[in-house]
Amino acid sequence: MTKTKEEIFTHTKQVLNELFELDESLITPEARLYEDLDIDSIDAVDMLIELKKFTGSNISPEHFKEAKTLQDIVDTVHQI
Amino acid sequence: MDSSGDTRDIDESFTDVKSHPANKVWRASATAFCWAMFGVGAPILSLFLPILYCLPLSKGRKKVWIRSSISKSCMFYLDTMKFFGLLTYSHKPEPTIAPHGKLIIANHPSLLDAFFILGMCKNLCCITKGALWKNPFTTLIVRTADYIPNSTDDFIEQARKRLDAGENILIFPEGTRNQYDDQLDFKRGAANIAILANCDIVPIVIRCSPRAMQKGEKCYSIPAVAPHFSFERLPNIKIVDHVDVNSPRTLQYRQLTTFLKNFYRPLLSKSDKNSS
Repeated sequence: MTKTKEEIFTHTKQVLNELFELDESLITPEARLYEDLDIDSIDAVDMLIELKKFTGSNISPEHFKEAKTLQDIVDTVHQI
Repeated sequence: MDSSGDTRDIDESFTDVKSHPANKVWRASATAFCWAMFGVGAPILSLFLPILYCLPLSKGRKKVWIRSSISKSCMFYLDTMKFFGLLTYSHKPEPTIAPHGKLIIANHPSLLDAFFILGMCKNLCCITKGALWKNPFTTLIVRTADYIPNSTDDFIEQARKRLDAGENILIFPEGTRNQYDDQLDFKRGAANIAILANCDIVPIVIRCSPRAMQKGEKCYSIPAVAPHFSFERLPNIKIVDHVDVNSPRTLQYRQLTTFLKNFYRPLLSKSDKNSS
């Protein structure tokens, strides 16, 4: 069953909190991954593995080359 | 936090022959000669290494020879600079490093840092910036020596394989030359590799005073006095001593990076610098 964007965002928030110990107040849809959240390309791969488990769909890092913000991630995961 | 202040202090304290204008003119000419020597030496090495590479020997042995040639070339270059009075250097406690499957890290104040460490270690793999693979002066050298460019997506994984196979890897965690001594803006790449490979870290502290050949500086700028480089190898760092290995890997990278920054900072703070 496909997840809604809201479900994906809520889960992403939880993942970010667990993997990177990010303060929840920082985790907004507009937050930029690298500049605001200090997530580098290696972190991104670890994050995608967690999102893959959640949605069950075949997410590859290739899909996220253009992603700048959390909203971009949520939108892309939603499309796949 | 600005390094220009203490550079000036050092300038003023040198009133002897080393800071005499004639000495600066001499060092300017010698610097020009050394740049020219690099311009000639790098292509010679670029021709010589592929010849070694084509020899009918095992890959492993060729790699050792190629890296050893690079090591000797680096040391020769530095000794030439030393001979001309462009720099001085000292090692403590030991000049050569022969660990096995270790990640060698160092702070990065100067363009010559890699020359020194490559010169000290005979068989070393390096994480280099991707630009060196496109630069005609260096492309054949980094390729035949089988270094790892940091511009590929899987350089962390490549580094892990090399460490597992027993190679030693040099990486500057700052990723680029720093602007002042205790800036220490470590990226997480070095910690990523160490955690993934679960290998010990060999920390080297580089002190360069006055600062020279730093980022953003013109290649023809001559420091007021010839810089002194000192190299200190500290005891190996074991990951388990500083990282909660049961936490997610993403947190381990962060813990180790923070630890390494805090490890280097007191060693490079200004009060310590005078003693070096």
